[in-house]
Amino acid sequence: MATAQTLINLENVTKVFYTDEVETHALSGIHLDIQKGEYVSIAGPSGCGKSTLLSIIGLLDSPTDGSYVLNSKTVQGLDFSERARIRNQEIGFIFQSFNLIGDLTVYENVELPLTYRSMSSPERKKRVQEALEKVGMAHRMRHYPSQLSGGQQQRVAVARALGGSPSILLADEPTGNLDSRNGEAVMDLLQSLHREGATICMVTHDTRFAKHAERTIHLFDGKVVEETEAEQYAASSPSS
Amino acid sequence: MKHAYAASGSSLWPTALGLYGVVSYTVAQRTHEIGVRMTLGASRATVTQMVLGAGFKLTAIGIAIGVVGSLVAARFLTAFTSLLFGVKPTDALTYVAVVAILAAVSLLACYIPARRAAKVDSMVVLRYE
Repeated sequence: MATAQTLINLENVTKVFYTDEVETHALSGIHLDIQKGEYVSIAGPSGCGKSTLLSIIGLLDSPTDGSYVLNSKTVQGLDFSERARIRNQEIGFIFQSFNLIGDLTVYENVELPLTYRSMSSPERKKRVQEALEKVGMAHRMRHYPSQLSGGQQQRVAVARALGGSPSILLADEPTGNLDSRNGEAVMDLLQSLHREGATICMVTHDTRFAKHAERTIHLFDGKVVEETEAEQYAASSPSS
Repeated sequence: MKHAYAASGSSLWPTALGLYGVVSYTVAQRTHEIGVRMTLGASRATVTQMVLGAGFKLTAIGIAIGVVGSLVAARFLTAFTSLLFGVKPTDALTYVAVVAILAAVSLLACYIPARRAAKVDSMVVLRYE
C-alpha cells in the first residue's frame, strides 16, 4: 500500500508486446512498492520480464495497463518530452554496458544529463566534481572512456547517475560486463551509496549480487512469484 | 540567363544531396549515442537541434571556404569581364543571395536526418546494443 514514504507504486501493471499477430505477455499484474531509501533487487531468469519492468520504472516504456506513481505523481500516459524531463530529474541510470559516450571525456559524460537542465555552468562543475569524488574517479576527469578499465567506466557511469541527485538509481545488471573483483567493487559502491540514503532498484540474474539488496523481488514469466528480505537470504544461504 | 540558372541549380542539388548523405550517415553512426542521450533526458527538440547544429557547422565551413575561394577567383575574373553579363565579379547582392540559398537548402537537407534522429527509440537502441 502506498504511503508518504513510497517513491514508486506500481498497481496491476501489465505489458503486452504485439508482433505479427502474436501477443507476448512480458508482465502480468505487477504490484510493486519501493520506499524512499530502500535498496531493492529484481531477480529472475533470462526472459522473465526484469528489463521490461525496469524500462517501465525508468519511463523508457509505458505499461499496456495498470497505474504507475513516481514520487507522488502519476506518470503513465505522459507525453515523450514530459517523460524525458522526469527521467532527467528523478532517475539515475546505470547500465550493464556502461553506455558512456566515447567522444566525450569523463567530465563531459558526467555533466551530460545536467546540460539538459537549466543549470549554470559553475553549478554543473560543482556537481560533476562531487559525483566523481564520491566514486573515486575525480583524478580521471580528463580521460576518455576508452582509456579506462571496465570497472572504472562503471564507476564513471555511477557518477553520471548520481550527478543529478535523482530520487532513485536504476541499475540494469550493473556487474554483467565486469569480472568478479570489479563486480564486487561496484556492488560495494552501490551499498555505500545506499547507506548514505540513496534509493536503488537493481535488476540482476545473479543471486550473489541480489543478496546485497534489502529486499529481492523474484520474477518468473512476467509475474512476481516471491519476495525475500535480506535476513531471509542470510538464514537460507550457508555461504552468507 | 536561363542557362545560368540551370548551371547553378545543377551544382546546388549535388551539394544538398551530399550534405544529406553525410548527415544521414552521421546520424546512423550516432544512433546509440542518441539513444543514450534521450535516456538521460534529452528531448526530441534537443536531438533535432544537435543534428541540425552539426550539419550547419559543416555548411558554415563550406560556405566560408566557398566565399573566400570565389573572392580570390573574382580577382582573375575581372580580366575577363566579358564572360559576365549584367553583374560584377564581386557583386555583394549575388554573394548574399547565394549564401542564403545554400544555407536554406542545407537546412532542408539536414532537417530530414535530424527528424529521423529525434524519433530514435532509446529503449530499443539500448536493448539491442
